[in-house]
Amino acid sequence: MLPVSRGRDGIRIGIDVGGTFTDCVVVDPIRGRYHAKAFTTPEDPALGVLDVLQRAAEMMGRSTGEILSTAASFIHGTTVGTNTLIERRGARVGLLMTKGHEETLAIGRVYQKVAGLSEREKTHVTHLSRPTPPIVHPRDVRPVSERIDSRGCVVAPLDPDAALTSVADLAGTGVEAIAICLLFSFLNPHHEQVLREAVRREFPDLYVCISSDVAPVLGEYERCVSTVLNAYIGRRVGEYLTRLERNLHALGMTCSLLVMQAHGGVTTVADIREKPLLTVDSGPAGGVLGAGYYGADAENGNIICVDVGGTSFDVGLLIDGRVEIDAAPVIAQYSYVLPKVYIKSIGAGGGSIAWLDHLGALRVGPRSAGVDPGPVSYGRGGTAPTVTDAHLVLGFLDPSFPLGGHVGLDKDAAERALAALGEQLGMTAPETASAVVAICNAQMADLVRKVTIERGLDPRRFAFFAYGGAGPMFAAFIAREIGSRVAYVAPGSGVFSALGMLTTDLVYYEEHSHLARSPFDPETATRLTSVYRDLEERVLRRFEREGIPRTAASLSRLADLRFVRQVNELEVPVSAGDLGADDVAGLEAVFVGRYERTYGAGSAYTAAGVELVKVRVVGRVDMEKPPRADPRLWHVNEAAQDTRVGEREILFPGSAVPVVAAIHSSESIRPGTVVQGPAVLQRLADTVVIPQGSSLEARDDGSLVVRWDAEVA
Amino acid sequence: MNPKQAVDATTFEILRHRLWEINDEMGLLARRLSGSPAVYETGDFNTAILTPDGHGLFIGVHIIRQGSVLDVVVQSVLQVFGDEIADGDAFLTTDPWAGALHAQDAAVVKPIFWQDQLVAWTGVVMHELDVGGPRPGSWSVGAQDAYQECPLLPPIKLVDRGSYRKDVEAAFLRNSRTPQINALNLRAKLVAQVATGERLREIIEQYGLDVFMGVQTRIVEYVRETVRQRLRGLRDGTYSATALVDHDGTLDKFYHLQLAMTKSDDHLVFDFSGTDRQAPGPINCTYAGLLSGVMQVLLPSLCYDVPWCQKAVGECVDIISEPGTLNNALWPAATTMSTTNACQSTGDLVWQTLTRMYGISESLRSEAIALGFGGVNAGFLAGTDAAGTRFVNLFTDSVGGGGARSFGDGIDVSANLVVPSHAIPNVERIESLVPVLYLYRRQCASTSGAGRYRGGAGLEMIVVPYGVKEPMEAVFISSGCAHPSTKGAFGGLPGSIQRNLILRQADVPKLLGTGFIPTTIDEIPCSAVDVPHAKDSVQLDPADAWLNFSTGGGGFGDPLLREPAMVAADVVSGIYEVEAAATLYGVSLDDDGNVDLDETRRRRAGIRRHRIDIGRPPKVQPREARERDDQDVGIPEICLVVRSEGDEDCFACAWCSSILGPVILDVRNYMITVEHKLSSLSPLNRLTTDDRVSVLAYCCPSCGTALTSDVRVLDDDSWPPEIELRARTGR
Repeated sequence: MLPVSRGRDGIRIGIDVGGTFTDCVVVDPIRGRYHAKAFTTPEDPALGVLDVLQRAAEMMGRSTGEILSTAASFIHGTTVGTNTLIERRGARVGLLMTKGHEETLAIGRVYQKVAGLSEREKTHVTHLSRPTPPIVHPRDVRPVSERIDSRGCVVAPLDPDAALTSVADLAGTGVEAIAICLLFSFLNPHHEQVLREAVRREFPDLYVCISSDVAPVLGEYERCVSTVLNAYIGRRVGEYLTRLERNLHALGMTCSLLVMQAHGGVTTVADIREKPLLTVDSGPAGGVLGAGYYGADAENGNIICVDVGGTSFDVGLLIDGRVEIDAAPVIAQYSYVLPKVYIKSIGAGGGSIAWLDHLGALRVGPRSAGVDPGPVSYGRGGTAPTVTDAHLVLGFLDPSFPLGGHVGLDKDAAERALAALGEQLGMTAPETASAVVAICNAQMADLVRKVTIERGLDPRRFAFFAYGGAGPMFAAFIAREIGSRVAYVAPGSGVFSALGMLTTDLVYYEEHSHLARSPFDPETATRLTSVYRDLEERVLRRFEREGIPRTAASLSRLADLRFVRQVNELEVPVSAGDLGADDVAGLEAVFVGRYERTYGAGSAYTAAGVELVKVRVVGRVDMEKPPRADPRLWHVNEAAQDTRVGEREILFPGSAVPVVAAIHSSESIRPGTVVQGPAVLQRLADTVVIPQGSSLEARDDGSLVVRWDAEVA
Repeated sequence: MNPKQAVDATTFEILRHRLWEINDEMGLLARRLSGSPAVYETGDFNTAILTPDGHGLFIGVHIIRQGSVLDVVVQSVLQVFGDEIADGDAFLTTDPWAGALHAQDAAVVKPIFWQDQLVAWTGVVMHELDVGGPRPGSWSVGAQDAYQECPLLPPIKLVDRGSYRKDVEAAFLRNSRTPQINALNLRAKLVAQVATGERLREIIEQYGLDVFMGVQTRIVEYVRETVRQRLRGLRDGTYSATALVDHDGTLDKFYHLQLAMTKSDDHLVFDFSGTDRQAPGPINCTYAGLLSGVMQVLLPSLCYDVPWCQKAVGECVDIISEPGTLNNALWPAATTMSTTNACQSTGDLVWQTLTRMYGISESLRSEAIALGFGGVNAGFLAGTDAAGTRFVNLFTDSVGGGGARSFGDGIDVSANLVVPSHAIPNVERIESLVPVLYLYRRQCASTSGAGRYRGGAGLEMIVVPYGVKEPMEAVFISSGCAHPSTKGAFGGLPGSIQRNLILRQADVPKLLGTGFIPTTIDEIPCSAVDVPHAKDSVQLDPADAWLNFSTGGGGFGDPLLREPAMVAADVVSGIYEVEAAATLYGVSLDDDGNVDLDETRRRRAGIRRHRIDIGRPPKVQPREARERDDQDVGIPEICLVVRSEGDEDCFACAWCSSILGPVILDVRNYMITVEHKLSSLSPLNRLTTDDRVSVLAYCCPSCGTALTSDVRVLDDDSWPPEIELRARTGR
């Protein structure tokens, strides 16, 4: 069945499951775009998915069955895999590894004790530890008698019978899945394949995966982690998606359920059943892709995207329109090797708690009041003042306005809490609130700078793109902190991850470690051609399995290059077809050019030589995207002449006295509307703050632009 | 305006965070651009932002001691160049008497100017794979003085007002066996600092110079006050420790280092008097190594949640040391092995004294940690591969276990804590670069120091030449081969020794070809097993095999207090043999590996009695012996405690509540001394023939609980001091 079964006429649905809310975006070619939110149901996320679908259907005046039966595509972002890992609720995995190397996973390249930790956590050296509990218990790791060398030649023959005895033993003690990782299997997968077939034959109930399938790249530790994680979450993710797909079909859906992958494309449920790891940490990918789609015309596609929620602040990057990929992702201190959209997070958001440290210095975060008890002003028992409380005291938020499902906020309580904190600093409640917000903004800006500067990039040359529930409130301030005059607030910013998922393509990729050193000669060209042809064939066959003709897919070849002995790789495009001497000879120059563009002129030391380490083929089938500009996006009340509905006093951080700011309603905002700051645009789901010295303009794609006046920025 | 007054609380918090991040970014960028696995994999580099007068404001989170020495580098540059220092300059040095730890550490520092005023410095230092000299890797085994090592570069201008000096670069690269990698690193250091300079100037542009200078002052004050506050919460007294180095690079002999650390109120004095004279071999370190040996422990230990500001910590500390000694060596001492010997041992002494202070003081007790793997146990292989290409490889994967803590076991295969980001390469990567085959790489049994919480296990590996016809040269640069280099804390025992072995004519690949994969040394037929010296150079023939195992971390607390089930689990996971469970832990296991609780109780009581029977009696009789009430089921976190007896503070045993005696006398005076032969602690210790080394457990004379321990060489003072507290005043 084609994943895109109804062409341009059908409805497109995107549903993204988050920690608190499940978000839904429905794009109907006739009626326009609808957003809905429902609470996430952690025990069975499918309930939240069906709930939010129903809410969306109600908004459209239709039934769930009606919208499902007319759906052309249904894209789903799931956290089942991620949560299974974080909460350690996955399968008991038995691991088979080359004899003598069984402790590879436990030793974790020594680096495991700090993998994925922030610099601040790493510095507490007396308190480091390996991941606890380990994802595979040491007693469930068994040796396989075999050995392959660095050229792929067999040194010691495989003893499959002994390995099967180990599997029988493991199965007998309750192991539910088998991961197999043998040295140099990415060069010669034969031993792994023999074992996989034997296990499937003898133990059909066990979920089994091999490292040369999951991640055929050099590096036994990360390949082993990838394989083990895949086995650990495999059954749970597979069962969840299969069940959800079945339920949706039962309700009338005729298209396939497509699943968001962490590297940014979508794929089928069948594909995910084999490589469930592709869904891990896929949540933020939708937003980054959406930013690429809606921000394509800004700064040549150089975009910093930030997702501001209640508890975390996520930063992603697009460089020249390409999504920045995390080459070495880590989850729960385990480093793995599947490509994933790069995201850097810190614990900062509306829920961040303001406090005084041991010397009485004012600090904000990383502790968060979360949703429960939440900020003091929620009146749910929170006593520590948060950034949201500070926003309320400064006048950014309207106390009578519902926020986060709360009817009304207790401004007096927020004021008392901030006054108590400020007393020790000799500051009033508004002064304290102003300081708290300034510190929080600065920390967010610091993370944005870090993400760009550690790559040698200048954040001022990027468009700044904000979304998430609190994004519109922070956007202008972070933009100014990083020296950017313009902040974009994404269309549908509260559900933007779900909307972003609808802007993706069906993507399959295949990659392989392949070593070649400069000067790249005609022989390299011949070998590369053959490797690329092989990868292309594998990608095309996967499309065919989904009923997509070869001609529908566009293929691109990529290669990772680096200076000899350097670890930092850059991806460069490779020509299609039979590669000639000129094609490969040109690779070095392309690489050096990109390197110098990234890290500055003179940073390249070409005498070191260049090596190619990994080759990749990405196959892409275009899917229909939501229209960028759509007049139906604006639910404009034609009767309203003025967007201004009132005014209130706001104290902006850095100012000594409050100013009177106009309050605008979104009802009469339309493309081209300009609102001069200081002002607040109050929308149903969020609040857009337009500081003094800036103005807001509504764009026809539904996004908003906050622009600082030249003399202010 | 007074710069300090320019900074309000909000601005301070904003810029404190921002500068901290900027220093992190400098490290991330430098690491990303480096061409050396020693940097991007092992993390053997660091960065710092410094004050205009060359004091560390922020030190990076990489190898700590590398960041600490940048103070000395900048101060040396200031001394040499003075007024000639201009905007756009950058300076390079590899001279241990100008701040480099050893010649392999090439430091580049750069002044930051704002309108002709010097407002800060930045620095990046990286360990280079080779900077010349007689041995590959520049670890000059056999060198007796600096003239026999690689050439040194005193501070020299690498960039002159923005113009890169190719002549200087060429001179630097000319002596190296790895010029291309060193060149990449040189660019990485500069690019990272240029970016950081821009970030710092942005701050000045945005907030003004007064604020920028004021924040520097405030950060120093903030960190200094934090450290002082922490110090005030700890017991005043003198905490002492000793350390050994077992080979000087030319001769197999012991060197002693000594430290008496005195804490009074909010100040620390580190007195290294009594340390041996500098050695005629490359294990010495200069003052830079001494300073960074102290700082590499103080920074993570006292500043675990505030910026690593060396200037602030320095203001709380005095160091006393005699020039011409092992860790304060004078020209022309050989120093290419300084980092892993004299400098590391200096740090080991500091860890030990701090742990004693934290443990006895209660506050910061969770920072107390037994001594873990810290030095080095590495080897280089150099030779020609089948294609005729020369190769050199330093095996950075041979690392040991972490020290146990008051709350849990040490980390297995943790490597050195002062290199928190150390990563070892994948076997597949090494085998792709060098013609070798790993038979195995795993956690090594019988290396962990015993204790209520055990030390982490060390790593063990067998590496064999593969597909080569010519012999290789193997250079070993180990320490801790004749004595355990890790130590237990509060009654825990040290880990095993570490060593390299050569199995002659083993022909492992041939064995593998038959389908047999050996897992123990006994399963490998060979013509002889050679045991090289700690620091040695030997020939490795194509059919030989190299076995390397590294020490485990020291244990924490008396092993008899370890939960028997945890000991049983250690036997199952191969950390200990069954025999060690019985002899070290007094745990009796049945044939299925289950704990026999009754027998364990009897055995443990027997061991306590035995200690009291055979132990050397205390110098001073304990004040009051008591018996443990078995109803007190809890196991104290630490058994050596201070109790108030009337007006007097006394050392006491928390296990049986016996009062040992007044705290003003060193604690060892009150305890019985039980001597363990090294070979009784681990079968691996039999690989050292030096029977002059033994382990001493200092036990409660009433109940036999081990309260502290030490490692000693036969001729040493048999009662080296350990903890002597000041009487509380004001009562």
